[in-house]
Amino acid sequence: MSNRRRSAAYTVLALTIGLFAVSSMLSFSRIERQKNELSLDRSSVLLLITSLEIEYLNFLSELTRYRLQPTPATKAAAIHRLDLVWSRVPLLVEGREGAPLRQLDGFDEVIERTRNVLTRTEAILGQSSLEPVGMDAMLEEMADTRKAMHQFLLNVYLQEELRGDKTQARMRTLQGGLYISFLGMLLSGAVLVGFLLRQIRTGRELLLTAKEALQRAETQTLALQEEMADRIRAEGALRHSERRFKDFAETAADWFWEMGPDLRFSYLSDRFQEVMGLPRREMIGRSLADLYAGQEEDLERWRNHTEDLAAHRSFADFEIHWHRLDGGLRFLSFSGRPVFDQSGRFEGYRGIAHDVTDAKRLAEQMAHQASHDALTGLVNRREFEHRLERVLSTCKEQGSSHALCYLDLDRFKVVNDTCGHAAGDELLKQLAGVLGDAIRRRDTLGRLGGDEFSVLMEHCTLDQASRVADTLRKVVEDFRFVSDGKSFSLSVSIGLVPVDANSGSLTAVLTAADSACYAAKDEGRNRVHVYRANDEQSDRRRGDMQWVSHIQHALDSDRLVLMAQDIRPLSAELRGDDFEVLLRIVNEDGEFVLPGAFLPAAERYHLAPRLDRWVIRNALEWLAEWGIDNDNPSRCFINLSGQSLGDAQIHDFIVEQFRRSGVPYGSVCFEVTETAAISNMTSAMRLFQDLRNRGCRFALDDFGSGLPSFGYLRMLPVDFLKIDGLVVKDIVSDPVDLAMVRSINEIGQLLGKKTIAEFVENERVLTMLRELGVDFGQGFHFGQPEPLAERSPLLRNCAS
Amino acid sequence: MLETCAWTSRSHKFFVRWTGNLLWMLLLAGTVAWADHLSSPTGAILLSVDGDITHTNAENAAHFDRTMLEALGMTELRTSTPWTDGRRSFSGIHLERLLQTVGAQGNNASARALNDYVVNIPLEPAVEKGAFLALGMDGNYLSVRNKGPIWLIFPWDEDPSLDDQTTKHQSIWQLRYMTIE
Repeated sequence: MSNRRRSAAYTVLALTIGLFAVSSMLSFSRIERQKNELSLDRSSVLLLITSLEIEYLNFLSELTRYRLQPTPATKAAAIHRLDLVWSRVPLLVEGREGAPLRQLDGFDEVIERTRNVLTRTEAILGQSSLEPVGMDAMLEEMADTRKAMHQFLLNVYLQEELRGDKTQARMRTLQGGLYISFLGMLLSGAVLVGFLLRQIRTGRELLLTAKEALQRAETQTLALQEEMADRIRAEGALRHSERRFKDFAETAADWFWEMGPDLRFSYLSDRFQEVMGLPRREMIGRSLADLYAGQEEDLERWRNHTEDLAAHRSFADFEIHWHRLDGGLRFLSFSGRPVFDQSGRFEGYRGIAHDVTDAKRLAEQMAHQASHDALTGLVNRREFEHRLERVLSTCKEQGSSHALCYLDLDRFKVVNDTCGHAAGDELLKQLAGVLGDAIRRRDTLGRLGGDEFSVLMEHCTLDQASRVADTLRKVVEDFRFVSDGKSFSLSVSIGLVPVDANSGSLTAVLTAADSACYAAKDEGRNRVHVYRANDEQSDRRRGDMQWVSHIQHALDSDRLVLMAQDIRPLSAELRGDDFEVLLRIVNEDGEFVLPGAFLPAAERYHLAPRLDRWVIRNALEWLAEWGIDNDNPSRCFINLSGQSLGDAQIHDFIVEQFRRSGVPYGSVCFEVTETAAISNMTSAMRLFQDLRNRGCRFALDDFGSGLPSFGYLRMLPVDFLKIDGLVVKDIVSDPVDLAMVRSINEIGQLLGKKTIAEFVENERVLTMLRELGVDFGQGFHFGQPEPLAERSPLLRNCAS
Repeated sequence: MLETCAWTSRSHKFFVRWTGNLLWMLLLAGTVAWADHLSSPTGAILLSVDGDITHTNAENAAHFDRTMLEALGMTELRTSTPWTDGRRSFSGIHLERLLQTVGAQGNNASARALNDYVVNIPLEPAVEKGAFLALGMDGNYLSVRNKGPIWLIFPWDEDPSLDDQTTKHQSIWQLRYMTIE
């Protein structure tokens, strides 16, 4: 009995163990197979295709950024991104990792499209110009390609999803099966505990093994779940990238729109409502015509546009302005292209729009800058002439009369030279304000350049205008400019011309105003000169113009002659055989023309530097040939005009002439008038100092004419002081002149300078000058000027 | 047959490791003289290593241009890869050589690619597996468009067990930065 029961129990045990062994072996093998299948599925396909799209989107964003801001940096970034997209392609078409993808439908097409788009974008990026030409159409096409790419990706997902679901379902079945075998094990374990105490240890071991298997299966499931989570994360990354692109599109200056066949908006991207200040639903169903309402002033443009629409043609940069409900005004530019379905039926339009308000404002600002002077904010010459032209045309049509003032500051150069250009600029700025306050509200004040201003007075009689002009003159006279603790007073010369139906062209009016202004200057500055037809003063300019051609002709054909006038020492201790060279023009009749006739014209038309150069070159040539007599060294006095002092090249020219002629520097003394030196203070000082270091001497010419300023005398490094002949010639009869010559001489001596008196015309003057202690004299008393050519030492010796 | 292959591979590895170690000892003896003095790049920087390293040529970092990398001694690795067709010949340097050059102290590297792909690489196993920084393939430099300028690869043909996900993830292309931790 006991034996039979035992053998039965062994049989049951054996069967149970056998069953369990078989079922667990089956479970293990299935789990193993599952594992392989699961680990295969991942990365390769999904990640490869997802990465392509992510890189593509990144490239698209970068490209859009470059399109919006074409700078070298955004261009370089786009090219870099392009390389990264390109690098995804070989990963897909080559190697076993991408192999499963290549078997999928649509793969070849997607790759082909991608390659095509990238190649053409590359061509655009390869252009040398910074502006991305043709980029807009490309971007659109790229967006389409991306859609195809995404569609393909979704297909891959779908297929993978199906596979994943199957796997999961299988795992669940497997898990359930394991639980059942586990329960079975528990049951059989209980039987074993009850029946077979001896075999209990074995049972426990088996139980443990089963438990381990279960745990392993659970771990496997967990791993699977993690895999799924990974995949979801990967999807999340894609979605993130997509959103980034969307965000970018929405925050970019451009937005997208679509119209149905009825030409009414059917889609508008978010940014649209932001710019329009209207909810999107308000806009859907409206047409461009609705937006254009109220802008009929440009009907022509609208007609062209509607023609384009009717013909289903593309249109670009169609601009409208839009008054927002909150009052803001926006300028919008629309570009679109027609959309046709596969059978060629018109489906509407699709395109982009952008907010060009800022660009418009910038254009306006630039227009302002183009028509206004940056320093003073007044209208510039171009704009002034433009307005004058407009006024001139109304004169002819309506017979109205107006006036034009031309203002030229009298001593502006002094401020510029003594205080620097910054101070000069500041002065002009302040003056613009002062003048602006003095004119009538509807008058136009412009700065024509430098220190020249102009006022256009519309609908104004000549009487009214001359009153305004005189006010302007007074305002400038009363104005004090303070810079660096120095106070400057100024004055202005004003030319006034009527502008009416009798006025000629724009140029004629401006020339007349200019002439009148010069006339005001000639009359002594700080005054208003009113131009009248056949104005004698203004017509002098026509004479000047003739002189200009005479001078130029004389320079070109060498019809210039140098004269020499002796400068004699007045005291016995002084020696010297000095002389001043003087310039004459030979006219057609062979007569000598004195500088008084042609010099004003030469200075006005800036010919003085050319004359100066001619004199220097010829005087030095003469000196090189005849003038160097070591026993009897003589000094040659040469005049330098104010314009030459302001000439940046004059220094180099003089040095070059000395070098070429070989004349020692010490045998020349340059004469400069006080006004010329003061007006070109900075450059004059530099020239004086350098040439004096080389050995030249300098003389201050015409000292005492006008109001001599002893303050400047102290600053100027000159060796001689030439007392103006007009003061000298009457010292015998005029006690004031005598006192002036005396004081000039005394101060000159005190400052260590030698004095020279001009216009010594007779013995009595000479005697008085000797008594005063003047060092040298020059004038008819010692002899008339004679041609330099006849003054060779040889000839002189013969004569004496 | 399979057995023989495995054995050959093992013995080959054994041999490589030993000769490698021997070379290292020689090289180390040489490097003591110029330790801490890494030359400076003159061309475009291809690779920057920072983090726990002792030899630098910039503020806490070692920058390499192509010349500097090539000067480390280019070797050849012939293998197929999961992303290319057929067996290719790669030229470059072993990761171990680079780590030695910068005096890497940490056990981990965070490798970052031009497109900001980041992967963590435990250094000892990677060196063990024969990680190789490829600069050229079949006689041409690797371009950015073709996984370059630097591609971290493994001798897949020598060891079939390298064909696992972890190794594939570590095979970073367009490698540009490494931070040793």
